[in-house]
Amino acid sequence: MDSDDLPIPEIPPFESERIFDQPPAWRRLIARVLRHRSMMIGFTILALIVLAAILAPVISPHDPYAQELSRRLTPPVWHENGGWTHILGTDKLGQDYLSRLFFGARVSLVIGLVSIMISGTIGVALGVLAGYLGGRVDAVINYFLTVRLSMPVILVALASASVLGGSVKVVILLLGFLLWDRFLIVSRAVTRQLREAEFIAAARSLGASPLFIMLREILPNLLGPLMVVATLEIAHAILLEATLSFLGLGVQPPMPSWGLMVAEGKAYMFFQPWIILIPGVMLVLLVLAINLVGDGLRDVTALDGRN
Amino acid sequence: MSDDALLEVRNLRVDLQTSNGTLHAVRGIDFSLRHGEMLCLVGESGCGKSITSLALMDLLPRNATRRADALRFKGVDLRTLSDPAMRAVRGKQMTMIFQEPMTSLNPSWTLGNQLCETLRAHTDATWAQARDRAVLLLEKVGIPSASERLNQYPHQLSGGLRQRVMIAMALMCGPDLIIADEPTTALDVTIQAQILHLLRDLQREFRTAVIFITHDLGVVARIADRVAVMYAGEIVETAPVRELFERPEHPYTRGLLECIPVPGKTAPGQPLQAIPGVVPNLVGTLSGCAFRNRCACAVEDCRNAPPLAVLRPEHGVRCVRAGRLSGVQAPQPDTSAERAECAELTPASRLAAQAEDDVALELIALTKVFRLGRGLFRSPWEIRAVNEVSLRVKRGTSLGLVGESGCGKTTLARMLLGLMPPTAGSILIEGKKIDPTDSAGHRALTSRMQPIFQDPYSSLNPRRTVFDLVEVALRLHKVGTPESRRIDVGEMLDRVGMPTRTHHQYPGQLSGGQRQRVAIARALILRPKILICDEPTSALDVSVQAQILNLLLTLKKDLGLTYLFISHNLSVVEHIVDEVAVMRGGVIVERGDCTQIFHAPRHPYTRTLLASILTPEPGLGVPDIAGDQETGDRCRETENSCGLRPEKDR
Amino acid sequence: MLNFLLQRLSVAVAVLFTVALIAFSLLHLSGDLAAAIAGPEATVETIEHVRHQYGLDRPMATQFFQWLSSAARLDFGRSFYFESSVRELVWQRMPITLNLGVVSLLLALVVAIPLGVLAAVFRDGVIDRLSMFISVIGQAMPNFWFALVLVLVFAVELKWLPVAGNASWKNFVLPSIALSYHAMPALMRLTRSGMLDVFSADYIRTARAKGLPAFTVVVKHALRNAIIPVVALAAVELGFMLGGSIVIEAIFSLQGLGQLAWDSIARNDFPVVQAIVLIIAVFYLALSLLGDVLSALLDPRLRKNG
Repeated sequence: MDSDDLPIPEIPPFESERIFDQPPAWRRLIARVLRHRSMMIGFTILALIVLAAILAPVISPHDPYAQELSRRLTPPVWHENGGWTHILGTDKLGQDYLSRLFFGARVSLVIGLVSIMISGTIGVALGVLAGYLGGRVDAVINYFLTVRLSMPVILVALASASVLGGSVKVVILLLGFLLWDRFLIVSRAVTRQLREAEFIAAARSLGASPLFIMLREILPNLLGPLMVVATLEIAHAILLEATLSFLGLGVQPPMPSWGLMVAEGKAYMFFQPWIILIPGVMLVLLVLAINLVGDGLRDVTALDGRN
Repeated sequence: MSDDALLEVRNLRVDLQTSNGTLHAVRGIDFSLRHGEMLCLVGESGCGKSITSLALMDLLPRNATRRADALRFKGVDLRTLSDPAMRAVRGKQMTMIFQEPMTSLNPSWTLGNQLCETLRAHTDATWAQARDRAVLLLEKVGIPSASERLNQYPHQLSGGLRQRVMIAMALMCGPDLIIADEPTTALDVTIQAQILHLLRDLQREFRTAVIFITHDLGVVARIADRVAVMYAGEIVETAPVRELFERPEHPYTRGLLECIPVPGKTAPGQPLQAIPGVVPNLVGTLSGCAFRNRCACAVEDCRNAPPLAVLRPEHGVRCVRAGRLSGVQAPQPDTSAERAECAELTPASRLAAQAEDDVALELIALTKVFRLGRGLFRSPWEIRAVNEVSLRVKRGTSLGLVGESGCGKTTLARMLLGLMPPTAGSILIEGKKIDPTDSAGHRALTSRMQPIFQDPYSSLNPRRTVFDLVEVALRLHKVGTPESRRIDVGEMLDRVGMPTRTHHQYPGQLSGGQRQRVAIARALILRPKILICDEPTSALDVSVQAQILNLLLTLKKDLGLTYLFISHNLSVVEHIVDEVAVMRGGVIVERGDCTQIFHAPRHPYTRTLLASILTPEPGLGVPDIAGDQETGDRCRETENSCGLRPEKDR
Repeated sequence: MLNFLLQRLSVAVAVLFTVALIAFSLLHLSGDLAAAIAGPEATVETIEHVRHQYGLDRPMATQFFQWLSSAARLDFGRSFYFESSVRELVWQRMPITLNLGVVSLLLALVVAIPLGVLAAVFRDGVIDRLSMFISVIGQAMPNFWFALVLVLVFAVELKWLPVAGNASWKNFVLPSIALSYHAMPALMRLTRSGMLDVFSADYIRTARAKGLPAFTVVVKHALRNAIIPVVALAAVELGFMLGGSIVIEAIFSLQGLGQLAWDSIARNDFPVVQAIVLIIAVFYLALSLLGDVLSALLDPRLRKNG
């Protein structure tokens, strides 16, 4: 018993204890994003397309609406008949394909973003209400959801567009008022889980109103899953816009839309396959990029939970 | 060690790859096990005890790697076995029982099917033979009308019965070794005693060796032959059970034994010997003694990794000062002041000090009836979750509400907090009737009464900082200016022991104990008079539990608080409360002051509950709780599955 | 179980009523029906005559309930364009669409379930990566464009299959592939994630601790539980396919319901459009109910408790 009264030495914290002092969540998140390869690929493609859309007036070699009937259906540059004046060729009216692609990206992105803002607001509002209040409110909202799901988007959109006439505005409104189902389903499910969490009970015991709880306690916790849904739904909206335009009830010519370009090229595709392949590949690339980002977000945010 | 060893483990290491780096879950452990021996692996969460068991079974998760110098089971080195050969060992010679009986059985197949397939996978028994064996074993584990049970599905059985089925399943092939990973942690105390008794009997009857993994020293004391204490992925001390409890050597073992309240031993209301700090997280490298930064006896030499020193036969200790500490009291954290102040307030005197009419909280015939299955086409049925409960809690005292899961204690708490409207009855705070359903009443309620919940992981909004979590209460009640609130919140966080550097962290960066401190600060910031503590420590490790209990005791004294303390842990209740109410089936079956209840219980149910407390006293064995024979009726599960009780059973 | 069914049925009836109301208002939003029916060259008198003949001069509510009550008797009125009974038209076209939908769904399931299971079992392996790649591409391709590419490759270049029409079973091959490729990613991902969820369940650890062969663990213990939500999704997905068939039928000139819907929308032939909207809603509701019933049958917990 010689060493009982030894002073307790200063002991540096363990390596391992840094776990409680680790960098803030957002910095870890960014580190994970940078490590996620497919997400970075998605980001890169998406950034290029967004850039092309923003800079369309600057980088387009021609006016996208200028018709050169003498040079209609010029094939792209890698074709034996192609040339550098029209790198990606011209369509049946002799409009420059590359320029129309750049401007078409604007149409796709604007329609995707704006319609998702509308549908996201509707879906999240209804979803949080249904999930938090439950009971009759939930039953009524669920009934709205069933009504919506029992009518195929394409059918309703086509029928309404034929009544209202196709235009960018109509397409945005239609998609905005049709694509809220997934937002609702996800936000309701997450809200329901959160409602059982003890921090909601704690907030209620502090006297917080239901509105305060929904907006300040629940909504911030929904952002992760909602970002994922939003990206995937933007992709969905872009595809639907292309489909509507392809069927002739979306964006109207001469406005450039990738779906419309496929439709206009359809008659010539047997002899000039590039005419549908080029806008189609662009659509695939854009939607693929957005989906990769969305899937990546899901992976990255899923890890952020409790170990 | 000896040649007759059933299992011999040398230098077992398990690493887990996580997103934050490599986690060294098990850092080189050695132990051996004889035929028919019961070895307890005991330790707090994250000490590597469960990972050890999975490593033995070769059932580690995908991100884990296992290394060892030897893993000899019945003379065969498990490291050299191919997958099919290991599979033949698993389930036949070495089986496992898991913690969660509710989820460990496949919901889609009948019990008979799941029992029989084990035997059929390892032997050429026919279905008929397998069925006979299953019926025999189900009867052995005490399941009534066993042959009919074979056609039932898991969801038709209560948790206790399911755990019995799991035990029968483990015995199907007559194994030499059963690994039981916290098999009673999810069960109520009376059921726990029954299951432990059963396991001990079967182990003797079948001469099976058992590795029993638990965090509960009470359980260890009652069933183990030999004990290995684990800390931070290492075995820090191993000894026969009596030796370990009577002459603990390692500072961690001694800390563990001192930090749990034991009825009749620790003085009620006195601060417990908490181990400071938190269990280290095992990501990254660790050199020297892992316990040294929490150890009151640490010396410079602790920077070097100590070997497992054998002190006496079979008693090994991993500490550089091994053998030189016995009999030495570890330097105490400075609690003498608190002790002196508490000393004058023994429970009886505390009670007597109160005037009869000085009542902080009173419930009169509070009732909650759940009507279930209310639908268009079905007749409703009722559950009386809380049935005409009347209680009084005097100012400055604490009332413990004890009972097993489903007894209605959480429902009662939720009504008190205004989270759930009562069906009938009234709540009086300081003599004034409060109607929690109208907004003024609710407001009055919230400023006087605040909750502390069980699960520190779900009780804090992960998107708010520590400071914000506490401040929001003031903002909701429009108290003070931003500046005054900042000071107020800062003081409160200091009081509960949250250092300033943590004030701007998010709950995800805090340990369980720190989170519970924040929850306490949030509850106290509105200066309520009454705290409703709903199992405030049952999700915490025992060393942290002691810190939180000490904090609650100090706060009660300093702020003159009144507690309604809800818990299933009778030892904790005995330590902290003045009066006890025992609840069962929605009614209070007995109430009285703490001493009376614990020393002279009147109601048979109270006696059963008290009998099932497992104090860490080796040699006493597991009490034989007759209880009511579980008949497998699903009343408890029904209540659970209807989502009436968000309370988590751990 | 019976209670559950009755409850679901009553909701379904309410939903159908609403869908009918929406379909009906759509028709009346489209402008003066009488003028549309009578044609561009009709005189005012003819229009008035038509208006009276079709009952368009009666109050909206009366018109709606009349239409609804006849629709309940499967009488959807007469097509403006074909001048024949809508019921006959729909009846003729329905088998083609149903064929297409069922074949596509089966195709999707046959590919998606094994791929999903293998992807989960060999997580992060070659099959997992490959199937994830296929599903990501599948979700990114507009199905009209994929259909056109299929035509270019298999009909124009390789000349294995006909471009369009509905003469023989060969005409159904490309449309079925195009339609099923749309549903497959969702089914595959659900199978995969369901299997991964189940793999981390305690009862799978129990099964492995019992020393059961890997195949038994994967199929008997894991797939048996993971398949339940897939079945429910498959039923609903068939409902969505009926909607998706519009585009595919239009491209391959299959004379099914989808083609009829598109043509009728283009011709403002609203009685037909209304009928199709209503019929597809009935299908969707019936199928999602079927999905719930199937999962209840597969899950003993739901079976007993109803």
